[in-house]
Order: sequence, then C-alpha cells, then structure tokens
Amino acid sequence: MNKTIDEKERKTIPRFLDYFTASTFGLLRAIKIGSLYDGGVVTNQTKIGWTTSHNLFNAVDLVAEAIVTKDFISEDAFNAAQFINRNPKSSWFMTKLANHYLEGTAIDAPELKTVETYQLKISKIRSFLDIYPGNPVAWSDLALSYATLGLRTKATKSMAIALQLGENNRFVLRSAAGCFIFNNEPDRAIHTLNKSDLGSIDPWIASAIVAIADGYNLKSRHLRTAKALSGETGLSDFSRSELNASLATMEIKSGSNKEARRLFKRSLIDPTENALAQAEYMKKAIGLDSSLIDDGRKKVYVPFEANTIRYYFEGKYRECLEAANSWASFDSINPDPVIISSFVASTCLEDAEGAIDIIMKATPAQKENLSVANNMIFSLIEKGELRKGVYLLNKLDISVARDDVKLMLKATRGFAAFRSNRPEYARELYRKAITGFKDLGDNRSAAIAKYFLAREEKRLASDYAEALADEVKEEVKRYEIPTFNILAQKL
Amino acid sequence: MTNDKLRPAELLLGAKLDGGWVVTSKISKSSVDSRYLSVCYRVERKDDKKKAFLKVLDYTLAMEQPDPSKALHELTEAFDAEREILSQCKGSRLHRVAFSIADGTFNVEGFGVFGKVSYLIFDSADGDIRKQKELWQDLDLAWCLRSLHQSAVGLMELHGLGIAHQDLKPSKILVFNDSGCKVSDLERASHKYVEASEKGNFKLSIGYMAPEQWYGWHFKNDHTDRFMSDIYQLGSLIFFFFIGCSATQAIDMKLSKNNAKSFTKVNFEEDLPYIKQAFGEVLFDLKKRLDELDPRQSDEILELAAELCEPDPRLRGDKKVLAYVHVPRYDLQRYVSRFNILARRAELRLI
Repeated sequence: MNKTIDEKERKTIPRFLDYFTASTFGLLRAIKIGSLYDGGVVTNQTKIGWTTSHNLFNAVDLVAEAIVTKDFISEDAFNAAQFINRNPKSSWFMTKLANHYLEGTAIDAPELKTVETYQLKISKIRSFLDIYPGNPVAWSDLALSYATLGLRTKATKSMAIALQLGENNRFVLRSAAGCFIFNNEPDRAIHTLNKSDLGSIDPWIASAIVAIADGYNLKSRHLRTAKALSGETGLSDFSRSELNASLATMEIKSGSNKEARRLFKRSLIDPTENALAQAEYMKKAIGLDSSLIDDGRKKVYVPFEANTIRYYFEGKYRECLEAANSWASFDSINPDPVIISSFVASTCLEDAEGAIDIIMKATPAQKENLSVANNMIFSLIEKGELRKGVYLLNKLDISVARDDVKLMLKATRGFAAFRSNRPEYARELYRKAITGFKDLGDNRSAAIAKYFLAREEKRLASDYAEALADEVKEEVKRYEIPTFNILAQKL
Repeated sequence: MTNDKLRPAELLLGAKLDGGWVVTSKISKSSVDSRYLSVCYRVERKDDKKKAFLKVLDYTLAMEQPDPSKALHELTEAFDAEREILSQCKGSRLHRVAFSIADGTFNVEGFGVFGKVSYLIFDSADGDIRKQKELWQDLDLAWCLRSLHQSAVGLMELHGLGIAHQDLKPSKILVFNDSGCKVSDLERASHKYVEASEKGNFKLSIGYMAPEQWYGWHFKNDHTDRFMSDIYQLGSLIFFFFIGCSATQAIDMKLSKNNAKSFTKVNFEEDLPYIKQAFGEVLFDLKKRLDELDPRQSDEILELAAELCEPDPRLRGDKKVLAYVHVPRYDLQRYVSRFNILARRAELRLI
C-alpha cells in the first residue's frame, strides 16, 4: 500500500528550523504587545554630530543608532546612509550598514535547499564556530544540518552543546525539542522544555510542551499555565497562536469540539504557519469555518504546509505537489511532505516515476523514514521495477518499527506479491495487514489497505473485485478519509 | 533659547586665568553628549607658549531646565566627580591618560553670584584616532595596533587606580604627535570606592555600549561590571579600526538584518544567543578584513577581539586569567603585552 498522511494525528510540534528561517517567520519576536516595533528616534547627540560635521564617522554613528532605535524615517539618517554609500573611503562593512538602513523590510521567501546546500552549510558553520565557538545559535543550526543529512548522533551532540550555551532561549529550546523528537526522544524533548523557566511565561515554549505531551502521551506540568497564557491579553496574538492551536488539538482529543473551535478561532487572528496548518488539518473534523482559515492565511508569510493540505483535500494535486516541494525544503527533517507528495504523484496522478523523483530529491533525514521508504518501494513496483522494489523491501530494518508501520510494509509486500503473479499469497498478506490494523483500532489504515487490495483485484479482474470495491467505498465514506473518496470511485 | 551673551561661560574669550593661561579662541558650544553642559576654548600659557584646551562649566543652562535646583545639583556633582577623578590621576604616574593640567574658577564680571565659572584645562591634542584614520589612504596596521596597545595601557592605568572609564570610544582616544595615543575624557568615569550618585543611569552612547548595558543588566553588584564594559569598549576599537564601526554598531546591524529590521530587545539572558550569533557573524566579517590586511596576524587579532568583546560579560576577558585567584577578570596586563607584541611585529615588517 502507498502511505499518505493521517490528518487526525497531526500535532503542533515545533519545527526544527534554522535561525534565519525562524527569525524570518517571526518566531523570535517579542511576546508582549507593543514591544515589537520600538519606533524610537535617534538622539540629538548623534544628529548634532552629523549636522555639525559631515564625516564618515558621524554618518556611521547616526545610521547605526537609527538602526538600533528603528528610526527608519529619519531624514538625517537617510542622508548619512547615502553619504556613506557615496564616500570612496567607506569600508565594505560601512556600506553594508548603510545599505541595510536604506533597504526595505520585505523578506525573500526561503530558498529551496538541497542536500548539497546542507553539506556546504555544515562546512560554513564549522568554520564559523572555529572563530567563535560560544555561539549556541550556530550549534543549533549545525545540529539541524547534521539531522537533515541523517547524522543523528552528531546532531544530538551539537544540540546538547547549543543547550548548554543557551538553555534559556526560545529558539534554542524549541530547536532542541524538534531535534530530540526527530531522534525519537520525545521524553528528552519534554524534559528539556519542562526544565526551562520559560515554560510558564513564554507561550511558544508552553505550546511546544502541550503539543509534545499530547502527541506522545507524556506528562506536562505546564498545562494549567499554558491555558492561562492562552488567554493572557498582554501577549500578542501571534505569540499565542501556536499555543491556542495546540490546546485546541488537545480539546479535540477529549471530544470538546466547541472549545476547540473557540481556540482555533483565537489562534487564527494572527496565525503562525504551523497553527494555520493545524487548523487546515482539523477543519473538517470540527467543522471550522473555512473563511477564518482564509483570513488567517493572508497574514502568514509562507503557508507551505497549509497550502499542501488544502490542495490535497480539494483534489488539486498539481498545486499540492508544488506546495509540498517548498514545504519539504524548509522543513528538512520532516518526512510528511515527502510522504504526501510521493503518494499524490504515484496514486492520485498515477505518475510513479514522478514519485520516485520526489523521494530521490528528499533529504537523507526524510528518506530514512520507513513510510517514505515504503512509498519508494511502492512506486518502484508500480513503475515495473519489481526486483528493485523487493530488494529494497527486504533490506529494510523493521526490528524497531511501530506495529502500524510493520503492517503497512506487510501490505506493500502483498502488493509486490500481486505484481509477481502470486495473488493468493498477496491476498493473505493484505488480509493480515487489514486485520492487524483493525486490531490496533486503526480502521482508517485498514480501509486504505483494503483500497489497494481492491485496486489489485480490479487489475486482475478477479471475482471479488466488485464486492470489495463497494466495501471500500462504504468504509472510506464512513471513516471520512480525504482523497480516497475520489479514488474509490474509480474502482 | 537664552542669548549666549547672557551666559558667563560663553564670555571667556581673552580672559586671563590662574597659572598664566589666556583664553585665545572658542572651540565649540556645549557638547550635547556631555554629562554636564560646558563650553570649550583654546588657551595659551604666556610664559612658555604652551597651548591647551579649556572646558568651562555652564551653570546658567541649569536655570533653563524644568527643575533648576535638581539640574544644578546634577551638573555640579558631575563636574566635581570628574575633577575629583582627574586630581587622582594627576597624583599618579599615568602615561596614557590625558588628564587636566589645571583647574580653578574665574569670575566673569556683571553676573553677580552666577558670574563665577569653574573650569578644567587639558593638554591640547593633535586630534583623535578618527581624525588620524581619515588622513590615511590605506590602513596603517602598525599604527592601529600601537594605538590599541597605548589605549590598553591607558585603560589599565585607570583600572589600576580603581577608575572605570565607562565611555571609551574612538573620539575619546586622543592622538599627540609627540607622545602617541592617550585615553581622555573622564566625564563618565567612576571610582571603585566612591559611591557614584548615578548608578550608571546617565546616557551612554548607544552605538558603543556593551550588550549588557543595553539591557541594564548587572552580573555583579560591585564595580566589576563597569570594568568589564571598559574591556568591551577597548575591544570595540579593534572593530573601529578594521571594519569602520564599533562592535556594538556592527552587532546591532546584524541583529536588525537577521530579524528584518524588527529585532526587539526582551531581556539580556534570553536575547544573548541572538547577540552571540550576530557577534559571530561580525567576527567572520572581521576575519575576512584582517586576512586581507595581514594573514599572519589575523588570527591573533581576531582572538583579542573575540575575547574583549565577548557579549556575555561573565565570559569576557582573558580565559587564562581565570586560573589566577588574585587577578581580577578585567585585568588588562596580558592584553597590553599581546597588543604590544602584535604592534611590534607589524612595526618590524615596516622596516
């Protein structure tokens, strides 16, 4: 079977991002209302210095001070910046300073990164750290690059150093949580966050604690504080957005859809891209008003994941692939964008080669995920490269895999058996997988496995094909599995 | 605005002061970055034609403030504090600190009790390091390193007397053609054993403050904080010489750039990683520049810059000093030697 994402399982786990992306997304902004833009003015001291004597030093003093005080409308500072740019004696750094003052605040979209980008980044960060090793942000960025390349031990070691150097910082703490989650250590992630004093005052940290505790059934001693923070009016809506989305997701789990809707509504006033994506995933389950999400989307800088999911639900597969490509690039250790896009390419668009291409371009961290590997095997077999697919399937180490993953691979083995003309064996494997999913209480995956079985039966024009197809249509409808309702109609 | 002619401090041209000093010309009006308002003149001693610099306290400006008695109190207190510190320096053998050569009061006729003005006379310099740098077509590495060495000596001499300068910046490093560079202007200095009236509340130059000073963060309640910020400002001079702006200005620019012009200071400890990241980027840029200038010495200069301007004051300074229990963290002796070696090497290469 080809794996797709399970929208109901999604949590607002903090992303493991590099410093530049995190700051571009505004994740490092102050949490208090009114402290974002100081809107200060340059002091008389530097102004008079500049007006009394137009020289390079006074110009630098004035422009630098205008940058600190965020006085970007000062005519004097503007003239001083132009003076620096025109002066042949200006150093390269002075020109940089002046240009920064003169340039606008528009932000470029994050560049699409490849594996090579991360390799180069590692060497750059290492030389950076050679000069100044006490920089926790650089250690965190190094950890991300290592993690992206699948070097888990190096990644966690680098992150441990980052934590030692900056344990009271939001960016470092959230990155550490993301890193430890990636390394399958959710308890270490929550322990790190719980240990920090920020959990009780910073909604970004409180959100991470709630999401991780909820997602991995771990204890959180910050839940009450998190709820209080979510309603604290002195904090900006943006800073509380992710926390409200995390709490809303928790409410859905406990069956309180009304409270979840209220919290999502609040989280969408000025949403982060993570909170927007969460709302997009959950909107069907709780009947969230789409217009709220649309309004929120306008405020989000790059809603890659939210767009991917939206297009996926709407059946706009080409657009979905494009958005997923950007999502995979900026969220470099998350396998979900690769899972969804390889699924869409291979199953929805019937382009197995396209799916293989997507997976080949994924980062090592994404590729090593068993669901991504499963989709690669599925696409290879679908494309006709049966031997290669089976070879990869046999090579997978599933000793520590979760039960649902083992069942997924069993179904894929069934798919391989169908394509190698062993239908009886294939049916048996599929049957075991479906029963296994049902035993786990995962009826959704059981229905998806049944869909792939029905697809093969139809291909063989077997006697069970029609009855099975009806069964699939009914189950897909019952469990409200997006996209499969469209796919099942083709059976 | 009060007419300048109504201010006694503005009317000293031609006046004869104690010690044979005659006021020859006015340099500028009250400097706004001063802790107190003063008027500056050039003076000349009649007998030996020695030229000097005169700073006159302007009391009348205090009268224009909303709370004149408070302003007058602050003004006189700041002036007295500087005079006190300068008199201490005078009694010690300081080679690299420009201190006053005379002080006193002068009565300007026609103003009654307000006619009395206090003044300080300083050695007249040939400019400051900014002026010197402006004269060059290409950077003179040996001169820069020697200037850094001399500034370090000046600061060490002050620290030796228990005085923290607190406002060391390029305009405060005076250049004397015959004797090199000297640390000057002790307006904002404070003494270790004298309770300062303002616990660092006076306005520091934004572009030159140490990062902890942006936040008003103190890691020790004694005078150590102030000495540590002096060390930072000494290191900042390296950035001034080689990249053209202070470490603080460079860090601020990087912070602003990294945060799309919207970086907001929250609290020192939480923001420290971002400041360190910005500092790392600045060091990277500095290294590029130093490699162009002298790749053989670039690593050592960079190390000095990294140690002196470390954004975290708890880690600032020479790490080897930590091993000595009786040597304070802000001790500059090792830096003086290191700057001296670097300067000497650069000078030898010129021969």
